[in-house]
Amino acid sequence: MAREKFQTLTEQMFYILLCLQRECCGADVMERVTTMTNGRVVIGPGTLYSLLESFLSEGFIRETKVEGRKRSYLITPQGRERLAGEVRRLERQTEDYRKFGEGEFA
Amino acid sequence: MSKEKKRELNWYQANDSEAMARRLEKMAAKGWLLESVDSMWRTYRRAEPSTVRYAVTYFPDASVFDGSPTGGQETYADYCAAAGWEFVSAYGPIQYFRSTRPDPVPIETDEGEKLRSIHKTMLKTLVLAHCLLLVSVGVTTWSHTSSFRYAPLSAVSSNMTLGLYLLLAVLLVYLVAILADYFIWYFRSKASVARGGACKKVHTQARLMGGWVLIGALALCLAGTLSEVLKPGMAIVMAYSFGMAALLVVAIPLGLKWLKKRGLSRGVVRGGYIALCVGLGVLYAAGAIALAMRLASTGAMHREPAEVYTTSYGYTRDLYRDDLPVTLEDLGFDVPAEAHCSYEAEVDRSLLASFGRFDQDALEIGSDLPIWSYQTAIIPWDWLRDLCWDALSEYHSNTPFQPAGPRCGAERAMVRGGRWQDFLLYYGDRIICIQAGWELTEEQVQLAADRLLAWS
Repeated sequence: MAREKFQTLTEQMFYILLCLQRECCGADVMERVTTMTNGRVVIGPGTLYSLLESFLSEGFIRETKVEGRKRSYLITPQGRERLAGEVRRLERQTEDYRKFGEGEFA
Repeated sequence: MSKEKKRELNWYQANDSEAMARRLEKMAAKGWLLESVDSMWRTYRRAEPSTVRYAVTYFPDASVFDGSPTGGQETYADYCAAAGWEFVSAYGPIQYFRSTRPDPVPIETDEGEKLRSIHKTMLKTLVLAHCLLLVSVGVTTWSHTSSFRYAPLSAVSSNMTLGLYLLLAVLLVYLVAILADYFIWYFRSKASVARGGACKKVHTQARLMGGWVLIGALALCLAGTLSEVLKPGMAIVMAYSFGMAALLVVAIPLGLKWLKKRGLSRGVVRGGYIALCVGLGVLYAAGAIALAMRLASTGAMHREPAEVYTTSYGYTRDLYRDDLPVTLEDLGFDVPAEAHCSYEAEVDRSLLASFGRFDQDALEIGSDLPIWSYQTAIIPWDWLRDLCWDALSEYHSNTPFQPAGPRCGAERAMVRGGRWQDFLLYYGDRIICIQAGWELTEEQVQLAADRLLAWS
């Protein structure tokens, strides 16, 4: 189920993984993603919690620190690989668009 | 409840987070802020009318058996607080948040994740509870169907039994409809999310209507039950049943609350809760058995006899002197005074049928008088009369009924021999049953049938 779920990353999944290339506590991820995307991508707290739990169980991120109720996370090599895979997929899409679609949509 | 607080029944389908949130916002605008929730009720406290946004979310890993929020729930609430959502209350995995920000970031921004959380929560709550209830109601319905096959005329002539049948039927349909409605909603939402859309709207209005139909059936069942309160012994039985039901309704939630306050683990609380339910169930059953034995030994389930006769062997027997439509004397038997015959007639009437049971019984042991017992039920509804006829003619312990050919002008007639001779006669508006301890002559059957056709 989870593998199928992460075949393609949604925008929110993508930016959470991108954000966690630097150690960050969960609650700060929301703010950081909003800043990174100038408010274009907004992650709700419930969605953030579910995705962090899924990433943890899938091994895409690991818990680095627990201070009281505050937990920090960092991306794992497996997560980096998935993120890079997603970037390659998006690049291929962009290339295809440039090759076949730009003329029509320009 | 003081004027500072208000309680409201929670009628919303558990997966209808949108309708619940909008209701809470309406209440806040009227000056009632949500304070707490439990399985059935929402409690509000009075406050200044204000514009407050509410969100109802699902945390599948939480349980109604948790004494305090889990670590995950606290983290979840912290994330929500960072986004401007204040935790208000939770009942198991269903959590309530509010925000005073005019346009807060929604708690769920991914419809797929939202649907997954809802579905995991619903499987553990709504689906599990409704399936367990469905099994329990199904077993009860099956047991009552068996009782109907055994004694259909008693069943249709009792408002209490009819009310119970109605309640069971409505409950079965309601439970199946709730489960079907949820799964239809889930699969439609899943398809919608897969296409990039949002979760579908929940049919809370339909659920509300179903709830009212269920309350109506419950009211009719109660009315039917209360209509029989004057029958011998029924007041005690009803007082016991309603008292125990009230005890269960109060004791089970209080017991759960008490267990949760002990700071015990989820497993221990769940175990304690199950033990409490089983214990109360056993107590209820033991009390019912003891009550039934007590009522049987004191004869409280029978009406006052005309006389209590003590046989020559020292046994006491109730003796009645009711008017019977046809007696052994009418059929040509010589009934001596020393046989001490009891003439007992019992009539039950319901919305659907009238049922008369008549027995003439020689109380003195050793009397030569045969068994003489008969019943007639007036059932104006063809379908119901046919249903009863089928049950009567098909049910047998040893000797099955056989067609008796044309008898006494009846539309249908069945007979079976054995130690007794039994007749079943079907007429345009009634069924007649006769049990005799001898082989009835044609004239005797005709006389009994004629008298019972005149009974109303």
